[in-house]
Amino acid sequence: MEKKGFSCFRKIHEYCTFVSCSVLIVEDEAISRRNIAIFLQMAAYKVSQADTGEAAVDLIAQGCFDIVISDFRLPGKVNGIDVLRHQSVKAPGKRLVLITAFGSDEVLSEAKRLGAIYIEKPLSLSNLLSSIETGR
Amino acid sequence: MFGELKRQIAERDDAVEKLKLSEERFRLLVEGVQDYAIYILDPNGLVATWNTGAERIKGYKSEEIIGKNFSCFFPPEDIEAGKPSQVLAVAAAAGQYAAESLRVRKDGSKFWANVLVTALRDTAGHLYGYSKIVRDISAKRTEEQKFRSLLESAPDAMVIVNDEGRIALINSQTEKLFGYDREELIGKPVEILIPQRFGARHVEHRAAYWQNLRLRPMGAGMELYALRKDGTEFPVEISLSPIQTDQGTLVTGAIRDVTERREIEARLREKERLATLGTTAAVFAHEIANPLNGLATGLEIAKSLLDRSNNHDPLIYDSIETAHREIQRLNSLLKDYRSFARPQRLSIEPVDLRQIGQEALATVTRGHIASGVTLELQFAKDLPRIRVDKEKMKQVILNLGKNAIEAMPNGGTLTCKCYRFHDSIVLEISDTGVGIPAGEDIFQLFRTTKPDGTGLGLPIVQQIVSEHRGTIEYESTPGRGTTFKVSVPLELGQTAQNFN
Repeated sequence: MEKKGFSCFRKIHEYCTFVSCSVLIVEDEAISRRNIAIFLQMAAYKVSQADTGEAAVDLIAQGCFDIVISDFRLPGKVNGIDVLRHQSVKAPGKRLVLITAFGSDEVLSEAKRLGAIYIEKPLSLSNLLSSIETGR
Repeated sequence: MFGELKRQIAERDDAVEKLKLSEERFRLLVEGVQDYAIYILDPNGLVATWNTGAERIKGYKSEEIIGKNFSCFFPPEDIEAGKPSQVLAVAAAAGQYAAESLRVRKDGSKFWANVLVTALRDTAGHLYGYSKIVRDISAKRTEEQKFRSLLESAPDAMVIVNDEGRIALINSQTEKLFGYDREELIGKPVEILIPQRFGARHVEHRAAYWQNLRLRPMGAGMELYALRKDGTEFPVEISLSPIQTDQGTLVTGAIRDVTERREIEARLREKERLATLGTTAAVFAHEIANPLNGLATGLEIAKSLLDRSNNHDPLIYDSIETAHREIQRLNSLLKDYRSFARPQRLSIEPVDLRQIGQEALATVTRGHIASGVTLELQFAKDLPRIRVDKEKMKQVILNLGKNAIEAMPNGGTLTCKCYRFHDSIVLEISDTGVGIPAGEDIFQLFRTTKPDGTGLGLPIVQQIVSEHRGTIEYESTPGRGTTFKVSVPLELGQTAQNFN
């Protein structure tokens, strides 16, 4: 059973990397989320959106994203770090971006540990774009 | 005739006998008195009679002292000063001489004596001697001495008041606290130590206290103030208690200067206020940060769409750019406010102040060299590393440096001195700028004289310095410049490290 699940995951994963560059945007603020989505779509990214950590975790479990961009503070029990952690377990080595307004040192170091890019609000969309493209 | 004479003689003999009997009784009475030395001196001061009390108090037996001059009861220095003959002269002239002074016993020991000398004159007014009554009051004096030293050892200013409300006794703490000399207070109404606006009410309260004498704090629940000689007032706490003395009941007031405690309480209240403010600020900052994010990203999309269109009106680009700058400004204000209202835990490490000073001031002066600003660094050679929060200390130098630069729009010298003073490191940042007008409360939150200022720079500096258990002060001459002096202890105490 486990083995079957694993091979299934591999298949989807390989399929994703060939077909498109898909991004998951996790942000509870509708306007910010919409703006990031529009900007990335303008740059030809395939965009999915989630407004809570829980919804994001479900999407990560079902789908396959090359990039996950998440706000740190999210309503509910799952925060941005948790979301990125799920993605790094499901699909190691993918691009992770954490966005915060006023991040603490602990959040910053946890983001670093996950290998995530750390961006402060207010966001510069062109900086975000260059970060996900260059990995810096 | 003969019979009449015989009767008169018999009557006189009888009277003489009665007189003799009376004198004998009186002599026995006087001789038997133990607690008082009672004796008679002849006109020249030679001892003529001696009683048991005199023997007990002075140590001489009657056969040893009778016929001797009474000056042997005086200490040598008094004899030298001619005191014995002065005493007799005063008594002879005024009829009586009374004093409390030191006397000498036969064995040379001294004691405090209460002395009463009365001139004795016959019916014709001729002086035929002096009566002397002496009481040993050493024990009483010792008690008084004990009481006084107890009074002196009290940490508080002690003011003892009689039933008329006049000051009977004070200790030296009272002199120090109120700035009066003892002589200026003794006998004065106690209201001299109270601000005038409370004086009349105090007289009433004082009268009421005498109706119900007991140990109690004064003015419970009220803020009490005392008045110094120089007219300044200070907050006090006063505890009242009645004491019974041989001069009747007196009231002791123990007065404690609570200026420092009030300041500490005020600081604690301020800290609590800031903590509440901090929690609110954190929530509030997030609530504002999110819409700001929406604004910033919205503008960026607009700009991006504009880039792709045919419309390249510079006014539109300029408007977008201006709006963007305003968003950034608002955001940095939020950041400052948040960091002020919610101080983070200090991250203490050994820091080289020279290095962070150079870094911070280089950042600050960058771009101002052209406008004539020169930077002068004077770091002491033997400057030890200091245990502080590196980033926060850098913030202190940055903020003070920025203020210095902004005070010199037409150029000048920014000097940073750093040296060790006792157990502290002192950091001085001076400018040759416009100066700060006298009476300006520069550390007040949100107070700023600059068009772009937030009024948070110096409060943040002050907060960081106080988190490090340090002090900050400044000197300024309008038109000449300002020097800020930050002093931080070399070894930070445990409490400071745990500051949150």
